[in-house]
Amino acid sequence: MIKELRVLNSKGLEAFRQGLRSKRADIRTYAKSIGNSAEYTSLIAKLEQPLGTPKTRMDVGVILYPLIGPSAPYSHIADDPMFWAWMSAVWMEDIIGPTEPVRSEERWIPDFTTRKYYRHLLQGPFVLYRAHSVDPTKIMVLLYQEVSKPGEVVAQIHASNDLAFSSAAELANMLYFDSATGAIKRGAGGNGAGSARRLASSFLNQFKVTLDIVGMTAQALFDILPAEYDKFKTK
Amino acid sequence: MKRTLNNTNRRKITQEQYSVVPASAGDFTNLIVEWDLVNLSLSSTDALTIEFATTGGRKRIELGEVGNGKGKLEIPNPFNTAVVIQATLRASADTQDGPRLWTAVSKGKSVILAIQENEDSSILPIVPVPNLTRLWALNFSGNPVLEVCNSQEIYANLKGNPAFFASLVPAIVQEIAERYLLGIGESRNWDNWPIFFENFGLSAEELDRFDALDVDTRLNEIMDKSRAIAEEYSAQMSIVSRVVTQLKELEND
Repeated sequence: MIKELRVLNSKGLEAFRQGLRSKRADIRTYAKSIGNSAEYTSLIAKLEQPLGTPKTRMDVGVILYPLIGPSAPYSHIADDPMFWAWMSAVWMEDIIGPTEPVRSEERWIPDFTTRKYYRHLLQGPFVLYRAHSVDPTKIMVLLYQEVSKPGEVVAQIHASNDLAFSSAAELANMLYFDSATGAIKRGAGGNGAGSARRLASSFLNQFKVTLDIVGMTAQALFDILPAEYDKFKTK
Repeated sequence: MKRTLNNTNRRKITQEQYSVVPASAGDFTNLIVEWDLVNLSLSSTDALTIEFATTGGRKRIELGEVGNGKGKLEIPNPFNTAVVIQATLRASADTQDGPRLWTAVSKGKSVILAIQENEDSSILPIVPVPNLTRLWALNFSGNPVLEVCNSQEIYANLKGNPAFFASLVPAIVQEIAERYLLGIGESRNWDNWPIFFENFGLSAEELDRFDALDVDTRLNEIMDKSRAIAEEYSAQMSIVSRVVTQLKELEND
């Protein structure tokens, strides 16, 4: 159980980075040892209640928002890459199983270029939750997944700030999230007609050049969708 | 609703037509937005909007109607803990049957919010150094740090001169850009600078392209690109006109 908030120091970041790059078999326990080491981290605060462990992307927001959300006591570390690197080091063991691949470095250490930052397994869902904190259930399509498996719809929508932080995210939810099964609808991934990829690249990213889509409601966007999205409207 | 996407008479707002700067040095809670769109002949009733984006969010502020095309407004900074934000200015017209239609748009503009003294949150902390043999120097032992000469405690005088830091900024950006493009030491892992440079076209893919060039071409392109970034940033921040105005005001006092 995590009972304090810490950030990696530069030595800790380098150790974590080298651990990821060397693809060591014990990376999960090694990462945790870095995160728990006084040599590699700096203390931010001791917590009154231990942190829960996230299973889904939604859990990441639910657990961390009261601590680092905009009005929370430790909001100043919410955009600190050293905090997110530490968080993923101490939670790695809970996020991926022993045989699950670590995959790319930016999933664990934030890459602060605008094109890749959302790939971080914890910061990615947290910023979505924060941006839609009034009612995060309206973007379940981006938050219902297991932490380590964000999937295609997240990649398409979250890759663009315009879409991720506007009602376009709610539109994706209206189209692709099946509340009965608690998962995305068949055909939402991939690149077929009406897919999330086409919603982002062929509809929203083209319309936003001409129309103020950020100022529109999800329903207004829904109402002007071309016919190719009909199959997702009706399910 | 049917629209012709490519025929909107949408105008382009150039980087020189608007500026976004902190309302006062060292305090980033408010920003001053200034614009001159007179030559675009927009309708006076079009609405002006400015959007700010960081990696973790996007927020917009309505600036009011275009009016005579020129204006200046102090607004709250929606990301006052960020060190770099991207600003985009747009004008739009209401359509009776649906969403607002853009009538003029700008490209994004990077705004550095935190070049300040010894602040952990600063993109470029400033440290007065008593025995520095130059007026200023960049220290790259970790994240970039600006060292300023404080021989005989002249730092206070330098800091109070509006031309001093303004004249340094383009040279600083150029030197940091060179190091970043060359990939020296830990430069590619610096805090905050990668997103700053991405706003000038230095994406991860573009860095890969630079890295793959032969030595001579690479050096030439890096020098050219660094200079171009410094000049573009100087223009974006309206550094010359701001300093001219400030110095004229001092002269009149």
